[in-house]
Amino acid sequence: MRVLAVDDDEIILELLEAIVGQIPDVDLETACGPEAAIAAISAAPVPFECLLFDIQMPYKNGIELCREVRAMQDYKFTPIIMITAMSDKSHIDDAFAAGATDYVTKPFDMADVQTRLKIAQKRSEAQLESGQSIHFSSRAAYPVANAGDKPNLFDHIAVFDVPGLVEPNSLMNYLSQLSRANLFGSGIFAISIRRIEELYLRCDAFEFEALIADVAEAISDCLRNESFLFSYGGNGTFDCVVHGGRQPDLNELVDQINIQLQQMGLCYSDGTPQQFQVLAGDFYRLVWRSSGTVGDVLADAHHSAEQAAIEKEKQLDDFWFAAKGQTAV
Amino acid sequence: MMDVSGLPGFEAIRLRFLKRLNDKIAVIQDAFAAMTAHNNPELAPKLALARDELHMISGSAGSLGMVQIGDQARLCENLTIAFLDRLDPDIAEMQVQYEHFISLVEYIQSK
Repeated sequence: MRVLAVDDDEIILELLEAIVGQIPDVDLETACGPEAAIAAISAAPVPFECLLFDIQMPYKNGIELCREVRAMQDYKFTPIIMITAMSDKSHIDDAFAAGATDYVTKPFDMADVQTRLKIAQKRSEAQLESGQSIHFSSRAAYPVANAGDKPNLFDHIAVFDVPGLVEPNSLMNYLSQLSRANLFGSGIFAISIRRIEELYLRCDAFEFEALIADVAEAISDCLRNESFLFSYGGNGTFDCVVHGGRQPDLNELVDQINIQLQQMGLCYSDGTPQQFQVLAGDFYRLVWRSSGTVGDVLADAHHSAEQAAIEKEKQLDDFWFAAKGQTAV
Repeated sequence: MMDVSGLPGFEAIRLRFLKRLNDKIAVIQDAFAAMTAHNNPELAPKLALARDELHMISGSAGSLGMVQIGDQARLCENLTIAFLDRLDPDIAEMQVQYEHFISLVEYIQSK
């Protein structure tokens, strides 16, 4: 794996060379500052497979650099690991929102740096093996899927340029690395699209990906007053992390999202209106949870929203069949 | 925590850091001297230079086994940022912390 490390401090770059030199099959190149980084990226005959960016650099910080590099076609899915001082949680949040996939902290823990790079290596190799076949969506800026490329209902679908939306792996990396202090006041919940199987069957590849992108935009817009990150976890369900002591009113949030979706006037490509709603599962506070159990909480929140969607449809079916004097199967 | 001190080349990197620290501490001492003068118009630009040097030191010292210097540099950097942003213009506190930082560096250099 070819890695580019960017820092304005040559001592840090030398340290990284020494640390990364211990990992087999990883070749490190370095750039002292953002301008040198862009030059190295532009000159690379083959794209780098992993990028390491220091967050705090003068003139252009690592977050801006991350955003700029993510906009390049060759670097849409490349793991970007941010380097940061331990206390910079707000910077970390901004970095993930700009497309970072992971982070390491200074002072360096050698095992941690090596672990993060190995995770990136596995991810990079997996993408190469699959021919970068991750589905992606978006109507304007990127190529869209053909009807034959329809993702599985449970697949992750990458959506770009939606504020706060990150990949599931990135959300997990982010949560698993937050310290107990930083998890304090954070909470997780999930939002599911109701009747997702029905919608999935009705949609072609483009329509389904566009639907996921539209719901992501609506969720992001309705959470704009919160400090948040979220990801699409497949099966029409979005996993959301919010920070701050106040628990958002999920009923109100869901109403706002549904109103927004209604106002978007979403249609299938034949002009038929897409009629669907979302709902939220339970809210889980992360207070006092160890980082090791955060993944379980994320899974619980995801499951809770999916169950809520199933229950809601069952209730409606029961109501409908009761009105007709029948029993739902 | 698995430190990096056993890495090949670590001692050479550490020595290079200490050598550069001589230049960096001169900038920080210059800013410290400017703090003591009343209404010094040179204070803000000197502090801006000191902030950049403190940032570099705070980023690397801890990884090179000089945790106390790294932490103190971070404290001074944050005080300097707050001062320059006019969020917390506590120059007396900044003087105390700069002085402590300079004495820590002088101690390391004397060893």
